Amino acid sequence: MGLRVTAADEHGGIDLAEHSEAGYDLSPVYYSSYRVQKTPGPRTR
Amino acid sequence: MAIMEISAGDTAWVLVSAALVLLMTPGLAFFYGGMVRAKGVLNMMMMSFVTLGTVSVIWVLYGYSLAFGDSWNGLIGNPLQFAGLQGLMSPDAAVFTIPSLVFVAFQAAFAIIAVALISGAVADRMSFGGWTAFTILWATLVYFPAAHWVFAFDGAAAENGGWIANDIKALDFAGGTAIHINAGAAGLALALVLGRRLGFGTKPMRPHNMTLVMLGAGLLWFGWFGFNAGSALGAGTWAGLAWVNTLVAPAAAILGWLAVEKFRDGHPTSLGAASGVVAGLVAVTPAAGSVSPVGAIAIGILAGIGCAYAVGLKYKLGYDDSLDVVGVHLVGGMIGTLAIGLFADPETPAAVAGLFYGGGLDQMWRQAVGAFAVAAFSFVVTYGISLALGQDHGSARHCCR
Repeated sequence: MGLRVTAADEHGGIDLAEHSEAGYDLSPVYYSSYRVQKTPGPRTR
Repeated sequence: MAIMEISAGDTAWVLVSAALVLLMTPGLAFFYGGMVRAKGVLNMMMMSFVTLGTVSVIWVLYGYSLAFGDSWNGLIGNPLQFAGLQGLMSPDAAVFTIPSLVFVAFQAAFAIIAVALISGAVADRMSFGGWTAFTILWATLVYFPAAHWVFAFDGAAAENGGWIANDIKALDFAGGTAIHINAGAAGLALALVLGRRLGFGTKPMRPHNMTLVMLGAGLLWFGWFGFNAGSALGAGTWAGLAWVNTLVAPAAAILGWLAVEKFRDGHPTSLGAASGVVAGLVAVTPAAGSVSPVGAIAIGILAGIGCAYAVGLKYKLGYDDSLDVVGVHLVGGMIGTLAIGLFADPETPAAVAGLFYGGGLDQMWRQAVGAFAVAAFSFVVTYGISLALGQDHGSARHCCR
């Protein structure tokens, strides 16, 4: 079975590796999962 | 077994206590969750929550029966006697003055928190699937037998009980041996098999949210009143004594831990205060019903000072007990369990005299045998379980700086 996650998963964070979740959403509002879908995102070149 | 008439007051108190003890596991999730880095907080909390799931189910299916069924040579209960809680739904089924099902509920919450405590030793690196399997195996092979040894008294839930409670007659009012020493020794074994976190000892791994830690410590303290005072299994003097001791021991331990920090580091910290609360609670758990409040203060100070120094051992000895399960639960449990041999007061309902009350060393050796037997059993079996489950997921361990 394996008790220990891989080094890459441990390095990147066990929340994302094991649950595909993050405890805190600290990204700017345009990239946040809480962004209202109708709000346009920033223009990119 | 129906021994006495069921008391409505006792039943109500133990039902409330069971809910208080159950709240300790989400409280532990906050306490541990705040202490890890931000990238691991959810998994840390999930380890407690999945334990609520696994242990509750197996407790009903066969766990209660293994822990409190009729004993086989004092070592383990009959797994079939109460399997699925059969025979316990009758109005006549009672443990002392409470219905058997209320006792089942109260002890279920104990089993859950005992397993969840171990998760702090392996933060940030144990796979969730591995942990889930571990909770079932560890509860079955380690906790249920140890709970039988310590908590199963002859004639209470079944005719014959465990060897530590009935033959050695070690005192463990609410689980200093069966829960805290047990979980602490298991945490050490599991941490040794799993190995250290990447960067342990070289990179700072500070708690990411101390407010969560303080919230968790508060919830733990609140729930611990059910843990200790509920263990009287009645609403009377014994519960009152345990309640007062559960107030003053952690209070004294806060002061002891902060004094060490001020003396050693120059700053009393919030992490020290929260850890002091837990250290004092752990130490007074076995002693809550057998020492006076003054004795509880002494035990709290000893635990606060002792555990504050003990948590530094992992850096000197090189094992990664991430959130100090060994330093607080194993060491604190040992301090409290052995201190009964010193501070047990014959005026308490336990009516046992320790060394300082003219009882000599008679109770001390009983406490030592119980404590070290459970610690050794837990360490060895947990080490075996961990090896059987497999240390590694099989991927390269050297991919990341």
